[in-house]
Amino acid sequence: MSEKPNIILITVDCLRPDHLGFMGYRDISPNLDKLARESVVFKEAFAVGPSTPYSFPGILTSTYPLDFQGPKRIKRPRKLISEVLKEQGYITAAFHSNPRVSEFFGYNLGWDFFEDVTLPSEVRSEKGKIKKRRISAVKRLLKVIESFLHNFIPDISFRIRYLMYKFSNKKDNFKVKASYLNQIAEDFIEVQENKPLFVWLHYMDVHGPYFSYDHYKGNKKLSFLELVGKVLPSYPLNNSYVPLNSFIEKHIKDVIYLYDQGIKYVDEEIGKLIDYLKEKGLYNKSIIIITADHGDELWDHGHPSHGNKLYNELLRVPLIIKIPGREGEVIDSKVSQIDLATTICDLIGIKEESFKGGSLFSPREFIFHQTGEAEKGEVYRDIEIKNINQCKVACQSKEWKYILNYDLSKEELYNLLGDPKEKENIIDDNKEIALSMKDKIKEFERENPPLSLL
Amino acid sequence: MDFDLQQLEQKSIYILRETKAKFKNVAVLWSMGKDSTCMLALCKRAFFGKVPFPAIHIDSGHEFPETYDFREKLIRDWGVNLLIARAEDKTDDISGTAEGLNKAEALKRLLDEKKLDALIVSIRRDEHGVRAKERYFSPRDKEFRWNFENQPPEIFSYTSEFEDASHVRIHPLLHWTELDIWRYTKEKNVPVNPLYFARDGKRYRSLGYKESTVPIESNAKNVDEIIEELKTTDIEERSGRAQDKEKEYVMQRLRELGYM
Repeated sequence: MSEKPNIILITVDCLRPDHLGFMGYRDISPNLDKLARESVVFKEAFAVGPSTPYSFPGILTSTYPLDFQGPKRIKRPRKLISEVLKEQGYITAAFHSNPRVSEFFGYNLGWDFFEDVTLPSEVRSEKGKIKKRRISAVKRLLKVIESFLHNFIPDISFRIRYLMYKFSNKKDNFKVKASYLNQIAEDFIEVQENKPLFVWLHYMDVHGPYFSYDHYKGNKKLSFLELVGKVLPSYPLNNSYVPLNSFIEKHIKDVIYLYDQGIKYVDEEIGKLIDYLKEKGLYNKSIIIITADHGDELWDHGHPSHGNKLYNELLRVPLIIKIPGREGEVIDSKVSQIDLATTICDLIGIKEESFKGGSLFSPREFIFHQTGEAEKGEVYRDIEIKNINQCKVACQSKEWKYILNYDLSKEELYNLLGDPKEKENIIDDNKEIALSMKDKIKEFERENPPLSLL
Repeated sequence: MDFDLQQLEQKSIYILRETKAKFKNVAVLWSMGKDSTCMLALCKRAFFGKVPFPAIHIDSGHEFPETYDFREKLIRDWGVNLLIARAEDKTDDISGTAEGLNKAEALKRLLDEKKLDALIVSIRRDEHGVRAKERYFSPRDKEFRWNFENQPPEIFSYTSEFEDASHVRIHPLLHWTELDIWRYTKEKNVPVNPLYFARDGKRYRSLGYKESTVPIESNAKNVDEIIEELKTTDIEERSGRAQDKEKEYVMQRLRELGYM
């Protein structure tokens, strides 16, 4: 190929760093562990937002999510890293299946090949009517019993649900698998010659609903526990029904087990992709970046999934950068993904004015996070941003984490050294620290005025 | 591209990618007609600008001269790797049945020679009653026979095994209509064999042997006009093909014999 290194950016939706082997978890990610040993590892990397639409502006455009008109649609003055690299003579290709980063949200700019991969549906839209499915009387009765028992005797309710699932012919896995994306990426790499490549792959396998490893491999029917693990991640804790709560608490470990199975599967696929790159002689000529757009909450703060909270189980992400000629480096200081795109530019010796980041190698004292997915009561909502009053902003340093909830008019302060899980809000005892952190946020907002072009 | 066409394309591309991943030795049939040229365009789209399979032309020697010109032009422009299966006339009969049989023989020889295990064919369900029974992945036995009463189930993201198959016919365009093909041709600027455009009030709607294919009455001189014409016509697409005018079951017999 050419003098400029290829750049392979792999993002895994919902991948928590504390569930990876090289970050101290049990041995479920041998391929990533091996890659980490040959790369630069950022142990404390953070996304700019806790969900895909609030995180990818940071990764791909090096801007904060609430900048300009918010994350609604990527447009000028934002510029995607793909556009920048294309101008530099790179062949750029994106392979993903997340509608949040599709053409609809403006992420298709600057790519020579932008593949928003979807699995074909059997229904043709144009001709023929869709028949209304007939539901038998037995099924209807079971459904009534199931929803009646749901809050009081969830054990039996879920058993009925499983019975119904077992005899249905419903398709379980609608997610585009990592193996399929890899296949497309390999087809793409196969026909390229002479020009440096920028390839972005985004895997959805770790994202809920979670499935077992066997299921990822072969599309088997789920077992009872797998079904529970698949369904539960839409249930918050602390609802008013005690039996349901204890049912969830009893099964949290099963859900976490399934979550890990997704990681195991993705790790294996990444391993295969790396083997392919080695086989093609590209591994040593490429910058390979592995990261996530955000983590995933496993009831750490009472909810599953992700969206409107700014706690570190959602914000902390894995970050591995394999740079030719550098290996075995570990960086412990906190870094933000806002600096990722600019670091890529640094590595190939170019500069982009619209990027707000600096270098990952010169650590920041304060890191900022934003989300606009407001919390209304306890329900996760996905509302269009109209003003800052439905947003949250957070700032963290090595020791402190301060969250300013514009939406709930509430402030939170956590000592990350003594309370890394952010359980105890100690703002009342540490007013001065909170004030100085708030000043930092105000200063940050002067530099990056939120929603300035709305 | 409008949403509907995008869906059709997505599905076909999915099938093409599955094919490349699951089979070792694949080829695509190319007659220089509108459907199989569209298919090559889809292959290019699915595999990033290159057609990764060889294209097979079953050359009867009875093709129109325009077709040969068109073939050479596309080989040059798209870098298609062409294999030619030479169909020999066994009799002087140039009727539809003879056309089908000769082509099937030639193809059988080439498939054996190249040890192909999958063949991409551009048929569509709306063309003919028998084709409507086809599957996307359709196995053929050693004698090229198609047992339409015993076909593997086809559920997406599940794989069927083809145990006794000598090769598998793959039909990524099965769900398209004639109109879809022309709309896609227009959208993607796919080159068109000039025989499809009207000259002196007549044009070809479907192409076979030059002796046995008759043009239809038409004034459509470009793709747009063809699309307009198709929206209103009630003449059957293959009405100009002699082989269809013979008895109803000819097509079915031909398919069982291995004709595509």
